[in-house]
Amino acid sequence: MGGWRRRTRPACRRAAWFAGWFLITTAPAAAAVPVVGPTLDRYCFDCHAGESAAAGVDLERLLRQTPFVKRRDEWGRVMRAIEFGAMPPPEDGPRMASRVRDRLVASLTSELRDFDYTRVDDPGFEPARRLTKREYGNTVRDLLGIELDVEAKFPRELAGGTGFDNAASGLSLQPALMERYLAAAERAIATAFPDGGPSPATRRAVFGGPIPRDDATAEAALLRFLKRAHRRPPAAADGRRLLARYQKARSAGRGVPDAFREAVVPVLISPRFLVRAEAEGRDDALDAWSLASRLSYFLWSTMPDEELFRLAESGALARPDVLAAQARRLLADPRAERFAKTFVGQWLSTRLIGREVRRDPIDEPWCTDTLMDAMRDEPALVFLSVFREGRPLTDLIEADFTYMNEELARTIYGLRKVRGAEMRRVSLRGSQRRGLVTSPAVLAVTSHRETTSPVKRGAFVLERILGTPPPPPPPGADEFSDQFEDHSELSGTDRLRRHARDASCRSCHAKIDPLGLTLENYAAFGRWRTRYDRDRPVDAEATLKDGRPLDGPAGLRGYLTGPRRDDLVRNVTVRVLEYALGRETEYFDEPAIRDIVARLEGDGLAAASLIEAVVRSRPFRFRRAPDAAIARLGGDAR
Amino acid sequence: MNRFTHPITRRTALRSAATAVSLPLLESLPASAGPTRPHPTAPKRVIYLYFPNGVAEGVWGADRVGRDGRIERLNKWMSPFEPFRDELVIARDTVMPLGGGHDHGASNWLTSLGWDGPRSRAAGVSADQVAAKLVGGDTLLPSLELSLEGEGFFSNSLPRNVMSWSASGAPLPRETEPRAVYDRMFAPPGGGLADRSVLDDMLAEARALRQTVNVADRARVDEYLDSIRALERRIDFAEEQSRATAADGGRTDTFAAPKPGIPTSHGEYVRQMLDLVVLALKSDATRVVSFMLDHGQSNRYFDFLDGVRGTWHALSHYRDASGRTEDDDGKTRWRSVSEKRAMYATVNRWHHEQVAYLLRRLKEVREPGGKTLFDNTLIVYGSSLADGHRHGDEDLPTLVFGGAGGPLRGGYELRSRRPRDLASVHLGVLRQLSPRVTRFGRARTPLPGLFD
Repeated sequence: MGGWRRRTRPACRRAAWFAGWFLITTAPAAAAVPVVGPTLDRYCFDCHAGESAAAGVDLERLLRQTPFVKRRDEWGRVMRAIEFGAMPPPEDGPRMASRVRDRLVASLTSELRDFDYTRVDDPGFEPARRLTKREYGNTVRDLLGIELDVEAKFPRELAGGTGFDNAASGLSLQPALMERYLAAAERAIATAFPDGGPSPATRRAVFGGPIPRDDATAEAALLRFLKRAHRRPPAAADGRRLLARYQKARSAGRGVPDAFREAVVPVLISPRFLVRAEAEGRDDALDAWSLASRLSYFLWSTMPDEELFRLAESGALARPDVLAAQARRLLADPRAERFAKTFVGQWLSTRLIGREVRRDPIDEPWCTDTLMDAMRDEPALVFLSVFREGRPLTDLIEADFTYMNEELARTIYGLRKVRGAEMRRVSLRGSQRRGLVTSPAVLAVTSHRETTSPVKRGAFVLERILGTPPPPPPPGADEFSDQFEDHSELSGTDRLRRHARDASCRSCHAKIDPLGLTLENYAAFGRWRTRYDRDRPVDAEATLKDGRPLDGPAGLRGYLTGPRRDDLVRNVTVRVLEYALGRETEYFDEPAIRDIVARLEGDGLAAASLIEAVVRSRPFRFRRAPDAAIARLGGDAR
Repeated sequence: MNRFTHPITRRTALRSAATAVSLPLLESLPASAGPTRPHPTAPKRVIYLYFPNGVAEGVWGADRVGRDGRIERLNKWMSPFEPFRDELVIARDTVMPLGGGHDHGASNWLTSLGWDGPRSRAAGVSADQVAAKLVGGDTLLPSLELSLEGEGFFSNSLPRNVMSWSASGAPLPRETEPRAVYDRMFAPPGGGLADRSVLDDMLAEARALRQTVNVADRARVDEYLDSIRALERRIDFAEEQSRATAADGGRTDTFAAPKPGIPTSHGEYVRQMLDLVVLALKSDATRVVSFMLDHGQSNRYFDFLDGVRGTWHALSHYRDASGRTEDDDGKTRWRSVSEKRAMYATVNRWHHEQVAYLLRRLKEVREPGGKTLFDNTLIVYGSSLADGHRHGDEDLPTLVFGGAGGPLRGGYELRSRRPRDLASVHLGVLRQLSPRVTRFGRARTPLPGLFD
């Protein structure tokens, strides 16, 4: 972005700001303003105030917007930049004493933390969304009882701010998709109802019994089909139109099965099928049918099954205890693997393995498709075990087992005892590895193509595992190469040494690099190593800025589950909640987040109770489309 | 039958009414903008071409200009555009005041209204979608969105891969497979498509649904209605194509359908997509095309170019030639900054060559009134980054092409002491499509000097 443009500002304006603050503001001023305002004015306003504030960060404006929690993401970035020492810029900004720095961060932290959230009552809003590519494929397959890759030709699904591609706000319908839906519907129906008659799986899924031979049973089956496709009792008119299509085909001389087939094709492109449109009552509570879909798309990436439909029909699903019990059931079902794979693949970016992250299989024949699949699945299977087996959430970091098949075992782990192509559980005792962070997939996505990067790995741990991303590198951060005559001499560790020497680098990198250095014994694709080459042994000992030593992977683990445990727990909670809702959490979700974390703590951090607490939470069971939400759709820029 | 005249049918009338319904999205348009009138001459078209990663300082613009700003010689890295020197305007000193760059620069390039990070969406409708409402009319595809299959990290990143927004929360997916583009225009409609009564059923269901859902959810249902109408246009177009083909012995046969899949040669891939752009405009399947020549932070390798090593994004950070930054692949090495910069510029020039190829192809197509397709098309070509290393957002590379004798004041480099909002370029172009457009983004006046 704009770089650090330093501007001078007339002193009179500066004085005017603070005098004017109390006059202008009508909202109750944040308690922190008296501390924060003058400090920011003194140290930051030279660049970060007014219309053309550097990097678009206008602190003057931000200060006026109370309560601060409404802008907690922006304040979060500001706090991290100050806390990490990236701001004020170490080389040419005003020097900020660490006492001032600490006080400023502490004031802002308590302002955000101690805000009276009981004043907030907003369950949030997720607009009607179309099914994602994955959800669409699974739903069509389950609806028809077929095995067919119907979604192969769909455009790639993109992920925005939550990092998950199921975010409701971006899941819009477009003509380019509609044509795909139509083609897919025709292929799917042709597969489900071939000339020889449907398979037993299709018969079970579509008819729940024998194939209809007469119009009366066929029409009943059509309405049953429509209800499953719409995931709720169909509107009477929709049913009439479906039956009319069937009768029209019949009167044109088609047999019962052919007419049935013709009539249902359009159901697969109907709005109620493609769009998850939810319904809430006057108290914002979602109806049981909406909850059934929320639950099944959260944990199975597909439509509800018969049991969920039954509980929606009776209304029982509206009860939090029933919802929680169903969450347990869904998690135990094999379909929950979809949740694990989708969630972990996007949370930790391991879905990039095999596509964006892989070696050229011609140069390096060990890099096969099957190996890539196994690497991608491994962390998801560990994740699922932690959630299914009553293990504590910290086992995501500390689990002493993993999953691998023969190829993964031989190629990456160097283990010869594992046999067969199936992924199976293998103990990690006796090795340094534990949990997700040392899985080859995570180690690979945090590496360069051929070499490791302690910086990337450190930043990954801070951002993805702890939810406290470091501030982005300042513009021109890497403009140091002309200091070295021969660039190739600058090795990775030299660079880290330079980070330690140079004031402008050190402030942040002292908090990033040590975390990544602990993983230096794992090469770019996760193989264990003790030397870079003949002359250079790997040194995975590091020291944090505060002097705390971190020795290798065990040291990192101790740090993550010790002093950073609360960040870890909160981050996993927020990520799961955002995936479950299909939106980013906002300040008004704070009470729900705190409640979920409290339940978790009360349950010995049992991972499964996280899922239950999420589905019991207010944002999961309620939805409110206030005027604000309508205005949002109109496109106000926050 | 002249393919630019359409009899007004019941369906057209229905559609026109529908267009009017969704117009409040475009505040800048009066409500009467709607149905396309029969064209006495060829229609106006517009193409938006985006490239990521910016250009190094000193490899963009004119090397020598006359006193009035007339270009006398282009920068040597822009040599592919020498033949078009009098048919282009280089708009210097353009900026995106509400955010350019890699991450949401692409998403913001055509909206210029800023990026709503927490909700991952642009804050407005993109210029190509406004253009689609103005001139898309009854065409098969009111607009066509193209991109190239992503490579590297960020291939799934929404802000880097989206450029067109039909509404703030409605990103348009982009076609990446040549065959899929071709099929959307010329493949015979499937069985269900042939049956309009089915589509009528779906319209009825959606209208009923619209009445029952939350007011805020209606936007989604409206998208559905628009999509179904697009299927109707598909039927109309197919019927018209088959009539036209029967009348003049296989008009579309001159272009063979591309093979399914993504071509392995990147050069071949880009050319196929550009050929499809020409075909789409020539057949009047669409009048508005936007094409991302890669996603906003492309890490594609251009090893197939002589002397180029490393990924595009790494090259853009040319001032660091150590090969050791987080942007590098850990494998590629460079001897010097100047070597790396030359590779970066070579990648830019290669893209200029592809654009020049498109321009030549557009000039080959004859249209009524002794004009060519190029004469009836405005082309905007640019990036959301200036100097890639500094992540600069001042003086963005922005070019506008247009036919001689057209409204574009070709042959000039426009400089300005004050930075100019890129939205003023978009506004200028949109006003050429319809003078009724009075503002776009935050711009109230078109960039001065762009058009006569």
